[in-house]
Amino acid sequence: MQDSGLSIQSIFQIGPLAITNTVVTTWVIVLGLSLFVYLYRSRFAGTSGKLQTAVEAVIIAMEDAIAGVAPEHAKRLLPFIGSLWIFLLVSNLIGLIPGAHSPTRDFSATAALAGLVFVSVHWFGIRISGLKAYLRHYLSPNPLLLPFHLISEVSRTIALAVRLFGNMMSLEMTALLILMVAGFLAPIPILVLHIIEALVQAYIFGMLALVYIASGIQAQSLHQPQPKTTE
Amino acid sequence: MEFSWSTFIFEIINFVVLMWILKHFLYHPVLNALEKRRESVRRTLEEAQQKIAQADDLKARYEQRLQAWEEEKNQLRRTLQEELDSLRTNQQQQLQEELQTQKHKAEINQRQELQEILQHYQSIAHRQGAEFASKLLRDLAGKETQTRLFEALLEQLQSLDEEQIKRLQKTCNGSVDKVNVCSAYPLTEKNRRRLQAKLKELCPQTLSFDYQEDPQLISGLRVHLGAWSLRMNLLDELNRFMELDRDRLNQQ
Repeated sequence: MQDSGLSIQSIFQIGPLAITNTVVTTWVIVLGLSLFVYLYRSRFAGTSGKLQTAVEAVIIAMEDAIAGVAPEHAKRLLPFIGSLWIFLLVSNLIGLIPGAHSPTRDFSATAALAGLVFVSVHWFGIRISGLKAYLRHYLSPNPLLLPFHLISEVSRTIALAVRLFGNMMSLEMTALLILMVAGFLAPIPILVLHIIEALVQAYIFGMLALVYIASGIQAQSLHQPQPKTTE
Repeated sequence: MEFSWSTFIFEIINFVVLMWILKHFLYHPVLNALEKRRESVRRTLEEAQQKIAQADDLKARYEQRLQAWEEEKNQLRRTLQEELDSLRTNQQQQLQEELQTQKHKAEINQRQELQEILQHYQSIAHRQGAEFASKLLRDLAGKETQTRLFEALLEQLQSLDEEQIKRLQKTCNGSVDKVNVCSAYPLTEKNRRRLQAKLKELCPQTLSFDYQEDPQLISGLRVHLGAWSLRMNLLDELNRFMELDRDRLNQQ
């Protein structure tokens, strides 16, 4: 498997930090999306065209999806959740390119994203309702449930990382195995499944992150009759 | 399932950088543009609502004005109808009066025309009767007739009243001393003497008598005594008959 491309390869070292192909692919994705945003803003901003309509439709759809879960905080959550969806979608689909591998088939990458979700839940909860009020929800409805709350925080974060990693890694492995066993054209249905799976997993990861963040925010709202509006 | 801390850290940094880029260069501009567009649409909708309200207001105002115009039009129409009815009644009345007048005039004219026609035919009948009598008398009259007329003249002279006799005598007392006697047939000597005797009896002064014949008299004689004349012949009778018809026409 080491030679098949499924393993994480270190490209070069920066001091103690090893730069793997996952990081390089992520850089490429970030650069590509940045280039797209630059081109979009420099060439298409202010004009009414298909690209602008498509971009606006995607952003409006994401905002509406977020507003469906957390209506009062859609604009605040859009940058994080929307970036998760876009990044995960591109990361999942980039594995279709021959020679490229999805960063999400690396547990380190999915763990990093799950960690960001974990931090974001507390970040948004504390920013919206304050530290004291946010921490109080761990003691509700009964302080005896505090250990379960803490275990839930850790377990769902791990589940978030492992779910995405497992799905994407298994998908790439399945495609690779079929390609090795059946020949050149046989994996095409699997590639279609790859596209669907990439969309579904990106949506699931972002939606779960949104649900976690929204549950944190609404948990504070239950204890605060008049939550602070920081929009 | 390998785990690399360096990859973990780089992935976090990469995603935060990507999120920052997307937030500042994609989400915010697009959301601001969308917000401006929504604001523009909202303003346009508000303006449209205001214009709709203004249009409704204008529509209601114009409908009220149209209703007022309709009422005014109906009122004017009723007034005009009343004026027309009054005018028509007056004209009908005037026409009726004029018609009655014309009818009355026509009846008068018709009566006059009938009268004239009647007179015309009466005159024609009178004239024809006179002509017929004249023709008949010319054919039938003769000396016997003249003798009877002479006798009638003498009887007439005999039956003069006092007033007539005085007028005759007054005429004879003037410068008249000649009596012209004109007859259709020559008078016999006997009749001449009888006439002279009768006239001398009425006019005692001396009179000379001149006897003439005029067949135009048809029969009978005519006696001129100055301005006084005695006509006892058929011609004068027929003329008197014609003049009688003319006098009657003149009187009518």
